[in-house]
Amino acid sequence: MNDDLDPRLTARFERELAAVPAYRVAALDIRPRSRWRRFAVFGTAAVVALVLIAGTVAREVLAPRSSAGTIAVAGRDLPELVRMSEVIVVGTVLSKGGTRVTSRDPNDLSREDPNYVGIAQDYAFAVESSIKGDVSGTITVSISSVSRVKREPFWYEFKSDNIPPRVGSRYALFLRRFAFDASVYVLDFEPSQFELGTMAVVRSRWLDAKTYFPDRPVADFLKALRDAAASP
Amino acid sequence: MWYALDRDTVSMIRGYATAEIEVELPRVYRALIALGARVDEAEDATQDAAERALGSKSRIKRLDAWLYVVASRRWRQSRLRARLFRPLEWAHAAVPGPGTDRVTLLGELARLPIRQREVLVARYVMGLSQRETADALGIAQGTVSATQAQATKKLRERLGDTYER
Repeated sequence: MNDDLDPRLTARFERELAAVPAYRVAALDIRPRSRWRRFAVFGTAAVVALVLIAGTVAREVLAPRSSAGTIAVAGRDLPELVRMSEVIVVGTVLSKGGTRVTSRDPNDLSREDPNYVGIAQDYAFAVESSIKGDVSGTITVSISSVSRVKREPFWYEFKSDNIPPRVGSRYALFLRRFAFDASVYVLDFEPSQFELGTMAVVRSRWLDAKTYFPDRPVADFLKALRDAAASP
Repeated sequence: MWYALDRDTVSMIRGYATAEIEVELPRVYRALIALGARVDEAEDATQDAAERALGSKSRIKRLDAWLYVVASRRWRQSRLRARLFRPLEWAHAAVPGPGTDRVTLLGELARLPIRQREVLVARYVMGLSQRETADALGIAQGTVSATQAQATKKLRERLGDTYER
C-alpha cells in the first residue's frame, strides 16, 4: 500500500525520531476543563455579540439630529433675496480648488472645534459684474460640502444640501463674507445660485424654488436683479 | 435499576477503550515532533487529542489518522496562541536553520511549508496510505501525491549527499 515511499527516507525518519525523548504516558481522562473551555468560547462569543449589539444601539441613540435636509430660504422673490444678501455677483466658475475647515471652537475662535468639523469646497470665481457689494476680479467662493459631529465614542458625517456649481458655467451668486476670513465668500441662504445659460435657471434643493423662481431669459433676470438692487 | 459504570466501560460503550487510544499515542507524539513541535508541546497536544477521542460520542473511522490531525491542529493552535501573547519575541526570533556541521532530516523538514510537512509525516511517520492521508487532511488524493513528490524532491536537494545515508 505504501510502495511509493522512499525507503531511504523511511529509514532516516526512523533513525532521527529514535533519538527523540520517549512519550511519557499521562493518565488519560476527560478533564473537566474541556467543558469550561467550551463554556468560555461560547461565553466570549456571547459577550462579543452583546457588545456589538449594544454598540449599534448606542450609536443610533447617541446619533445627533442632522440639519441636513432643512433648507433655510432667504426669500420668495428677487427683491427679497437681494435685500437679504450681502454680496451678489455675476461671473464664471473658473476652477475647483481645495477644501477648508469652516468650523471654529466657540470658546476660542482662533482654533478649530474639537467636536464639530465643517468642511467646505473652494471654487475660483471670476467676477464679471457686481450687483451688490464692491467685489471684482477673481474671488474664492467656499461651499459647504460635509460636516462631521462628534458624539463620543463616534463621529457622524452629514452631507451638505448645497449643489456644487459646474466649473466653466456662468452664474449669479448670492453670497456673504465668511466670518473668519474676509477674503472668502460663502453661499447665502437658499436660493443662492442661478445658472445663466440660455435662461436663468435657479439651482437649489428647495423643492419650491422653481415655483417661486421660474426659468426666465438671462437679460430679463439680470435687469430684474439690478432694479431690485437699485431700489431702496 | 441503575448501575455505576467505570470509565473504561463508558469509553467502550462510546466507541473506544482507553488502551485502544493509548497504543496510538507514541506514534502521534513522534509525528508532532517530526512536524516541528517541542517535546512539551507535542505531549500536551497528544494528550488533548486523546481526551477528545475518549470523549467522542461516536466511533471514529481511522483512529490513528484522526488523532494525528486533531493533535497537529491543537499544536498549531497553541503555537499561534503563544505567539499572540509574545508578539515581539516572535517577531524578532530568527528562524532556526539546519546546523552547519550536521544536516538533519527533521531540521530540513521544519523548513518545508506546513502542508508538505503534514503530508510527509502522515505518510512516513504515521504510516498512512495516500488515500488515508487525503481523507484525514481533507484534500484530494492527487494533491497528496503531488505534495509528497514536491516535498521529497526538496528534501533530496537540501539533504544533498547525506540523503543516501
